Amino acid sequence: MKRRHLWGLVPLIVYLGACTLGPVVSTLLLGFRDPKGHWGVGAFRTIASHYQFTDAVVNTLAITGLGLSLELCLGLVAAVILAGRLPAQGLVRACLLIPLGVPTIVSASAMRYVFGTVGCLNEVLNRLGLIALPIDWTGNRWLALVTVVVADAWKVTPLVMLILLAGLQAIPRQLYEAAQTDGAGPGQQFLRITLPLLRPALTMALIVRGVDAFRIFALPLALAGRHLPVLSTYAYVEYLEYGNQHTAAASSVILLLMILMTIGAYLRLAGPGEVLR
Amino acid sequence: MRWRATLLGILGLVLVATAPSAQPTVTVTMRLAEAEWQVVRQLILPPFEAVCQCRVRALDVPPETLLQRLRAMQRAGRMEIDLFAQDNMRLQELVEAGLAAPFAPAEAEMDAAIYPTLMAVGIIQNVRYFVPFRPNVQIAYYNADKFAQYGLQPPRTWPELLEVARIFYVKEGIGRVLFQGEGGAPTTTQLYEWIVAAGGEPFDFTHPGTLATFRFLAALRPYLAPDSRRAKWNTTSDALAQETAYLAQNWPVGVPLLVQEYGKTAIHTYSGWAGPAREAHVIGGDVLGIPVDAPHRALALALIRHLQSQESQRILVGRLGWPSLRSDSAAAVEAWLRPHVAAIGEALRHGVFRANVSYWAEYERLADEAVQRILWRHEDPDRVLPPLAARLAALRDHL
Repeated sequence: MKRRHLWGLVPLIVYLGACTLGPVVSTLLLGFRDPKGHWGVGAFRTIASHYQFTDAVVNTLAITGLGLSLELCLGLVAAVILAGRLPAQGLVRACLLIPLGVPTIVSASAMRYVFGTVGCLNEVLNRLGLIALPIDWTGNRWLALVTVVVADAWKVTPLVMLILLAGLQAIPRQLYEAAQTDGAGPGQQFLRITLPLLRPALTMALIVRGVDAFRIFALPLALAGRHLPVLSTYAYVEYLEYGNQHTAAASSVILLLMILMTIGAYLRLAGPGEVLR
Repeated sequence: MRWRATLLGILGLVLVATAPSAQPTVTVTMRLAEAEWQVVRQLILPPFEAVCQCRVRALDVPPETLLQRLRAMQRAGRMEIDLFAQDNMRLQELVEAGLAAPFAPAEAEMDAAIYPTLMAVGIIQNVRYFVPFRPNVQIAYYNADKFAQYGLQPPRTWPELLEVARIFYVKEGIGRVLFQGEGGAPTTTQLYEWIVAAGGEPFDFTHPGTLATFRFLAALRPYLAPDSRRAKWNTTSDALAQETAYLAQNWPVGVPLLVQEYGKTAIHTYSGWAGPAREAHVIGGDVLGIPVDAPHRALALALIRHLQSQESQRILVGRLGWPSLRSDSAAAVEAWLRPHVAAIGEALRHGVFRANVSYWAEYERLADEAVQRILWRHEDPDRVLPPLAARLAALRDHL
């Protein structure tokens, strides 16, 4: 009986090996070889000396940090509102989830119409008399970062909201009733009951979105082109434009390490039990 | 019983789907814009399919991925591509990788109407591996209404270009001259012809002409349109149509798009401006090649003849504004297109082929870095170029 159960795991092991571990290991190996097949860290040395690589690392971290903060704040506010009693709650919830259903490349193209030099945002600001000349939203590096973060938040905040909403709905109502009886106000209830009990959902949202935010690709490429490199677009340019699969693999390895380190650090801080709850 | 019937049904469907078709299928790859694919699929390929009793499977394959695809098919021992169109700057790597099959002298004999100058590009180490398909040259587009509004003439020299860019900036408070500064092939192509126009050597960043080009770019930068930062071939027409730029260089494919689709009749074209040494325009475009072990070589050769024929070229010139490889296709052009065809002809007269070097990808990386740092990071050309020149020289010597 036990052996039969083990055989049942074979498809899963084959799937994980072929579709998950295989590509990861082959990318790792590719990053540690040069075009002539010699082993070494030449590819890492090449990218480390490239003028855009440091920018790519900093931009990736900045987009992840700023993006996660914004998405968590907006998602939490939306989730708290939706967890209460609202008129036409189902409709409001459906409307808030629409961006989640839009393919990333479509939302990236749509954002170009918003943030382009002749885009809607400049048009609105111009009609309001706030600007005379169009703003180049991706002309300056830090402005471009904020633009990408805002555009990304529009698309993915609903996912954060959904996770947090599920967490909020799992909190027993009796706790709030007991707190109310003891004279706790809404602020105290939020700080003492909601936030602590929402920690598993927050952890899940952080990990799911954190991994995704590190891998951001279409939005910076569509909005700012190569002038706002992040690690994934850096790898893409190395692979497709310069035909160098080794440097592309090396930057992908660094991206993978950054994701693993961030998840590890967070779990260490929050406690490994968080995700298992 | 029921599941057996279902299984038999599925098996039958699989057999029908995989049964060899009576008509052979010729697979051809190209990299075309959507509007170009429409014309090729609807007007160019069907007559060939009817005459040759075959089916043509046309696939969009970017030039930068063709090598990988052909290599993967060759390694798998299953070549599926019969004919490919490839950027004339990415030919050396295909020959070096043993992926392009040579043409026999009889196969390479071309129609007398094909411009002889275009035949030079397909020969590598005295062997013909490629034949002409689509010569291309960048022309200058300008918004005649805006030029008239400010009493300006289209610039013919670098000082005039700088002055026009400055006047637009002063008059409108924002740059209106576009440089394709996104990076990659569009930037390198534009840079290459500007360096040649300055009498420079594109593969030597210490050459006085090359230095002069980068210094001129640095002088032009403050007056460039903001969209220059993200400008490449497929965004330049948008910038002209939306009037975020009044002057830009691009391939002629933008002409029918701007004039017919956007109705921008105020956008005129001319060959462009000369640098301090001469007027120079890179001849780009695609050539045709047949992979080693192509399954339908005879049909591929027939398709080449069809693509080069007067009928096909007339459609491509008339519908898409492609520069023709034949001298007898211009008569088919409609009246509105004639000034643009004249601009293309003039640019082709000043045409230069880029040297096909095996380190092109690495060169592109260095040229990109130079442009990005000088244009968008405002670094001094005299500080940026020497270390890049040393890397380029090392690369050249190494290979």
